[in-house]
Amino acid sequence: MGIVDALEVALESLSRHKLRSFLTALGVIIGVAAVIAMLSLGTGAREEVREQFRGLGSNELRIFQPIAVGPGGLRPPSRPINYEEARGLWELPHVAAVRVSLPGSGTVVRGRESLTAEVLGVPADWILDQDPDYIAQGEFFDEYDVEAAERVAVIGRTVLETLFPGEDPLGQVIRINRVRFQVVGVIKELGRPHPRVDPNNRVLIPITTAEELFGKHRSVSVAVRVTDERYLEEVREAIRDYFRRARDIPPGEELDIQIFSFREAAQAQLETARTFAVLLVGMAVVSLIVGGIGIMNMMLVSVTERTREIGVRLAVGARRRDIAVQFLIEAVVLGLGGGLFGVALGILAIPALLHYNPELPVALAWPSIPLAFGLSVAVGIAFGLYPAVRASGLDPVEALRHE
Amino acid sequence: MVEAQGLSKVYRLGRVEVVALRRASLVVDAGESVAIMGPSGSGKSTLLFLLGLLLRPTAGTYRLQGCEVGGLPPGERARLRARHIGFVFQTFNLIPGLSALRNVELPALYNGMPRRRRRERARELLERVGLGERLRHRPAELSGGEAQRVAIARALMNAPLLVLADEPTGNLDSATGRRIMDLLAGLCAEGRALVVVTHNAEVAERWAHRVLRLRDGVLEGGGDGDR
Repeated sequence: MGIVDALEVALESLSRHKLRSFLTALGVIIGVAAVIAMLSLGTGAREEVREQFRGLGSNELRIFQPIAVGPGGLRPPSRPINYEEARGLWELPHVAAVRVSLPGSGTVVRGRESLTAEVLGVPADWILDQDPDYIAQGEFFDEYDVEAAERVAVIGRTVLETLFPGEDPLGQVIRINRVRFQVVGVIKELGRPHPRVDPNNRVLIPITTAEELFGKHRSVSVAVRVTDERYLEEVREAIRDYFRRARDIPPGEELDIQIFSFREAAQAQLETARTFAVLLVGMAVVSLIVGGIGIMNMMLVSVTERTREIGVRLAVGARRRDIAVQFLIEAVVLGLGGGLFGVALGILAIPALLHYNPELPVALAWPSIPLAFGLSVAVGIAFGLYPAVRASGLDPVEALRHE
Repeated sequence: MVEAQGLSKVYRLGRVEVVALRRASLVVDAGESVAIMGPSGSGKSTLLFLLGLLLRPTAGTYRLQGCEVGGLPPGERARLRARHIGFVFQTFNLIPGLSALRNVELPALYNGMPRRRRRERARELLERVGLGERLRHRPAELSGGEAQRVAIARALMNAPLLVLADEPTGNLDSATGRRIMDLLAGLCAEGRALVVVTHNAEVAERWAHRVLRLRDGVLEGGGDGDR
C-alpha cells in the first residue's frame, strides 16, 4: 500500500469519529502548546539576563567591602579601601586597567543658587574611558591636580544651567558642601538612560579631593579590568593576595573585601534561568506524554472496535505490515495534527501571556517549533506502536468472526 | 484449478486437540460452482478459510493453478489473496465508515493497482451489480441485498480465479437471496470457480454444479473419483 493510500485510509478512519479524534489530539495540542510557551518563557528569561548584563564589562572585577550591620545600624567599614591602596592594583599581572572612583553627593552652591548633585571623585585617567568630546568647554583636571588634591571641578550641563545661566563658568568659584572649588571644565550634554535619571546633574572632582571632602571612612569603588576573560580567576586570587599583604591579614583570617564579577553573576543568573526553563519544559513534556497515553488508549479502543474491519482487510489481501502501518499512521496523524494546532496555540499563547503580565520575559523560541513537531510525531510513533502491533497480530479468522 | 488433497486442520486448545477438518479432498475447475453443505460445526467455514488461504492446513496439499500454496508464508498467502481470491460473507462485512465505492476499491489497495484504474474499475463493478446510483452510500444506508451486491463487487475487484462465499444468502429474504445467487452463479460463466458454503438446500440444488456434504470434519463426495 502506498503512503498516499495509507494516509487516505488513516484520515477516513479518524474522520469517522471526529470528536473523539479531536479530544485525543487535544492532549497533544495542550502538550505542544505548553512546550512552545514554556520554551519561549525560558528563552525570554535568558535574553533578559543577557540584556541586563550587556555592556557591563564581562572581563571586569569589582571590589567592594561587605556592609557590616552593627547595633547602631549600618556600620562603615573598619578599614575602607582608599585611592592609594587601590592604585597598587595596577602592578598585578594581567591587569589591563584599574578604574577607581569615589561616588557621593553634595550641595553645590553659587551665590544664591544651589542644587543637590552627584559629586564623583575620579582620577585623571578617568577621562580616557569617555568619548573624545566628553569635555565641551575648558578641560579635565590632570594628574598633578589629583596628586595635589586641588579643589577643581568639572560640571555637568544641569549644574551649569542652574548656577551659571547664560554665563561663562570657567574660572568661577562654586561651593560643594561649603568647600570652595574652581570650575575648570564643562561636560557635554548627556542623554538620559531613564526619564528619572539625569546624568547631567553631576560634578567631577579629583578623587583625592573627594576623599578629603567626604572623609576617609568611605571606600572608593574599584573596578579591575583583566586583559582577557580567562585570567579572571587568576587576577581575583592576585587581588586577594594583594589586600592580604597590604593589610597584614594572615592566611586563614577572613579578608574584609569582596570581589564581584559580572560575568560570573551573569552566568549564575543564566544558570538559574536555565534550570527554571528546564523545569517548565519538563512539565510541558510530561503533559505531552500524557497526550501520548491518550493516543494509545484511543488506538487500543479503535483496534478492538475495528477487529472485523482488520479481518476483512486481511481477507482481501492486506499483509500484517499493511495493517500495522495503517494504525501507526493514524497515531502519527493524531500526533502531528495535535502538533500543528499545538504550535498555533503556543504561538497565540505568547501575546495572551503578555496581556496578562506585560513584564513577563517572553520571546518566541523559533527552534521550539520544529522541536515540538518532532516531539509530537515521536509521541505518535511511540504510543501508536503497541496498538499497531496488536492490530497486525490479530488472527484473520478470529477477527472475521468477532462480534 | 483448485486441487486439495487430504487437507486437515487441527486446532490445539491447551492440551485438547480439535479436528476441524479431516483429510478433505476436492477439485474445483474453472467455471465450476460447488456447494458445500453441512450442519453447524461440521467444518464448513474451516474448509472455506483454508481454500481462501486465511488458514494454514495442518496436513495435506493445496494447489492453486498447479502451484502448491498451502504451506506458503503469510506474506505470500496475503499476496495470493490480493490477486486471485474473492470473499463474500453472510454478514457482508463491509467497512462501516466507507462509501460503497471505497469498500469495493479495498482489495486493490493491497495489490498495487494504480489509483485511477482502481476507482474506475470499482465504479464499473458497482454499475454491473446494479448499484451505479449508490456509489457514495455508506453500508448503513444500503439494504441487505444491496450490501451483498457491494460485497460481490468487492470480491470481483481483483478479478479473482476463485470466489468463496460463506452463507451468502443467510441474512437475506428468499427473493433477494435468489437474485444474489444468480449474480454469483453468473461468475462461473466468466471462468471463475465458485465455492458456496450453505445449509440452504435450494441454494445448493439450484445454483451449484455439484454438492458436497461435510459431517464432523469429513467431506463426502469431494474427490475426483466421485465425479
